[in-house]
Amino acid sequence: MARILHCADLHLDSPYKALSPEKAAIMRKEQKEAVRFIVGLANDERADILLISGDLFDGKDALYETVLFLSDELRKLNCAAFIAPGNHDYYGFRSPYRSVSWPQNVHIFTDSGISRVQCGNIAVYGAGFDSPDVTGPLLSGFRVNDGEAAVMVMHGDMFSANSPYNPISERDIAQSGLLYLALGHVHAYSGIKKAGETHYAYPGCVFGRGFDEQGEKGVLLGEVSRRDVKLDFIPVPGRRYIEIQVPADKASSIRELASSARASVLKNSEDDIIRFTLTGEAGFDIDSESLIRELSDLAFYVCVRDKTTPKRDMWEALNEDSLKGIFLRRMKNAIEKAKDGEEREKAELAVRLGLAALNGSDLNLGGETL
Amino acid sequence: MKILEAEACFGTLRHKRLSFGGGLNVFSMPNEAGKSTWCAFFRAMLYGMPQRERTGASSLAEKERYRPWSGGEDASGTLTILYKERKVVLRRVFSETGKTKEFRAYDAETGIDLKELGADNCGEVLCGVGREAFEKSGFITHNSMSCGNSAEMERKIEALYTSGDEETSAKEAQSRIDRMKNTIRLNKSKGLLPKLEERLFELQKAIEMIRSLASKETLVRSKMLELEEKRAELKSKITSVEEHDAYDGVLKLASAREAAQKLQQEFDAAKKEITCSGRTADRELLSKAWELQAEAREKRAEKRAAGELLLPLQNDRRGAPRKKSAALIAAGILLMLAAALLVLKGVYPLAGVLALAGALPTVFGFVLRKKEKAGAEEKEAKYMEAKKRCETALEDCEASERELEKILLSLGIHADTQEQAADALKALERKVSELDALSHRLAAAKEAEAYLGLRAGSGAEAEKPGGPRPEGSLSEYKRELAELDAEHASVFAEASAISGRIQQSGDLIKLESEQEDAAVKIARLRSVFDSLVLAQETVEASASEISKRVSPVIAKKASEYFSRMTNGKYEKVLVSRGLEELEAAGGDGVMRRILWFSQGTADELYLSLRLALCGLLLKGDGPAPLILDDVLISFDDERLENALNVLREISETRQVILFSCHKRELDRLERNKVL
Repeated sequence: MARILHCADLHLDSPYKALSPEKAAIMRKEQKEAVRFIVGLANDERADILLISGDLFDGKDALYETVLFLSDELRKLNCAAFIAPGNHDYYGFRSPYRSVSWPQNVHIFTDSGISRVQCGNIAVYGAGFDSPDVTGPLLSGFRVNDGEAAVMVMHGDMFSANSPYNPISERDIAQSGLLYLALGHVHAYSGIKKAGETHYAYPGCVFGRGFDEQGEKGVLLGEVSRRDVKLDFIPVPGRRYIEIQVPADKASSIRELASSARASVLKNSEDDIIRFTLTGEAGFDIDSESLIRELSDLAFYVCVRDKTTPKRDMWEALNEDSLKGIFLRRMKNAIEKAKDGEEREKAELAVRLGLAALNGSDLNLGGETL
Repeated sequence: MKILEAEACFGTLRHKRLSFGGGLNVFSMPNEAGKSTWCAFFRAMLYGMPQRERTGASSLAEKERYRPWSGGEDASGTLTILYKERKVVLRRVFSETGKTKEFRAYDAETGIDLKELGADNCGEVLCGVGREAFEKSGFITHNSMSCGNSAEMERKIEALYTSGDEETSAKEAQSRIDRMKNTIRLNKSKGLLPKLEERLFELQKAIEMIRSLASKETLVRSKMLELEEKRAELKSKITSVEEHDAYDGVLKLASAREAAQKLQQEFDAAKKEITCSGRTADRELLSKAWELQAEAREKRAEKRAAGELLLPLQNDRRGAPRKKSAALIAAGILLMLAAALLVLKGVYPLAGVLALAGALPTVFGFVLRKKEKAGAEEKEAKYMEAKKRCETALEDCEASERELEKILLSLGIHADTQEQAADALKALERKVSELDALSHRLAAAKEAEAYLGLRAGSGAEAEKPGGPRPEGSLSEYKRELAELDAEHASVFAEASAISGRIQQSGDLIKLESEQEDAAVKIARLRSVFDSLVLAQETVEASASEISKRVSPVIAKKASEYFSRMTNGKYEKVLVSRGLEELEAAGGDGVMRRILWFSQGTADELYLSLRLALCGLLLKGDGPAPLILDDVLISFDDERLENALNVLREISETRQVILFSCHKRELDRLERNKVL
């Protein structure tokens, strides 16, 4: 029996592109806190093995200080750590893994061939990406030695048979004879699954880095034995990315829109990153920057995505025999003939801009008055 | 609206008055009589004076130009008009800066103010157009015959031919869109977009640089690690060699110790053998013994030589040195004794001869004897001397031998013969030499032991090293290590320099975030820009659509006036949408732009267009008056008359006020009994 902690896809040194530069810098510092948390958890919970299933760094150009920090933290582990580099942090010629001297308790699977390390009473198998694309499949045809209790750490894609990121099939997992296959690559927690007698799981990324990685993030901790594999999802403290849809139809001013957005925010979101997506028909030109200013106290970071369409009222002059009427009819025609969403959006924006120009009113776009 | 009377304190007009009729009013005035000033006065009374106008190098602002030349009073005036069937007085006083500081519009009969007429809206209410459109239509001066376009006029014209409001102007919308576009991108370097693009470029460069530095740092650090591994390997080899050396040292030390002990024993045994029976065996004694033995041999030789020398001397001394003299003496004596006997016998002669014969050998014998005695003494002396020498040699020899014996005894040699003694000495000397050699070897062994002991140090207890001895030598490894250390130091310095540069280049995450932010904003602005272009094109197309309706109407009226003025020479006029371009076709049917026409014909075409526009625009509450300043100046007589006919016709429905510096207009009209 072995007590293992499984994490993946830390993507250290992620740029946090959705955030402002200042907030991104804070998030980057907090990424390191998450690493400390994982090491502390492994020590407190007396884990025997820490399995890291790749994409530990966001890119091959990870900063030396980050790599150094990681190696220093892993040195504090009271157990062995096994790292299987992934497609983002593949073990290539310029790999960040090569830039520091890793502590004795850390084993990196530097080769895409599966290798084995005995760790106490359990064998740890692993294979790492040695180039950005590993068509593999690395697990294909693998089987543990007879009677052996073994786990494996690996980065790979279970969702596409033609994936350039080491496609993994349930059949290969089922035939492996492993007790547990610690996977990485998919950023959402998969739940503990089973193929044949082998359990496997993607723990998901350790912290969200964008609105496509919403919700709680964490690691898997528990026991792996011949009898059973019992792993629990342990959330890692960190900021969540939350997207909130705000219908803009009823609001007639930024203030009203802000109060409607405010009402839709759940409690305890002060430390989160919230994106308000404005939907419906906007009755006025929405100045996103003003709205953000109104809502900035709600969370660690607030941003706004304006997905509203021009209000029907804007089209009231459609049938007039006037310059405005002719303009609107021509624009309506353009919108209807739009080849794709992008062209349609362009035409819709042109309606708003054209009407503003014809009405002699100012337009505020992205905080800039046009 | 009709102007009935005007009183002006305005520029050169000092409280001047003019009265007007309802139709065509022609004023013929010489130069500097104030024709243009009157026109400007009407405009100022209706619309006020423009505040933004500034005096330039070649033009005077209205507010300055029409300040009363007399000085000391404000520009002011009164306009009595017919408005909604009422006589209304408009009173305006201008401040020095041209602002209307006093305005009143009141019923001339009741004195009641007309609330609908204010300082700002008075002109527009009365004429139906704002100042701008009025200037382009009903207010025609010789200096500004061409019409040009204005947003207001465009709105008015478009509103005429659509059911829409008069608030929308395509021209204004276009310029608003242009402003928006310019805010986004004025040119390559000005505007939000170029600034952002420039910033994005800078960010990309900075990020690229940091990324490349980071990548370089990874390489350098991995090289450093490699070197460190090599160094560790080399150090372990060095340690292994040193351990092996230490262990070997310990082994050598032990064997040296053993050898030294063995030698010590041999030495001790040899020494014991030599020094047994209390003898000493030092080299001094030995050499002394050899010396004494040589000396004794020498002394013995000397003694033998002295003995050999003494023996003949002794024999010589012991021989008969006196035998001849004694014989002679004896013979003499005998003879003499015979003589004596003879004497006694008395044989004297014979006794005498015998005495004589006896005396002679006796004397001779005595002489010889003396000689023999001296010879014997000399021999004795020689003998004695030789004897003494012999004795001395003997003594010396004995002394020497005694001393030798003493030394030999001290050396433990009991020899009966000199040869035995020499042999024993030689044997002893051999032993001493051997002892010396042993002593040297022992000393060397002890020295080696001490040296190895020192070298072994604490490693004297070293265990046997586990692995095999590395193949290379210690010095070779140390040299390699020094080279590695130097290389490592250089790589380390390089890594530190790169780290420093990365630190200095800023926070990568911040830069990337800013880059993304800039990229998003750029994408947004580009899409806004594209939408603006689309909006502008659509506004343009929409306006064109209207102009297709508007322009022919204006052109038709203008064609009619132009044809009348030119006696039908030109029948067709085309007007561009902006009213900026005019074309007309003559008998040949070829459309020519106004630039092709003579000044007079061009002015006629402009006037035709203006009059056409007036008909369309100047409505207000009752048709607004037409104010013309020297507009017919370039017309020939025939066309002047034609134009006057047109004006006269217009004046039937609209008041026309024409100022001219010539009298010919008046003459023509009077001749035709128009006035």
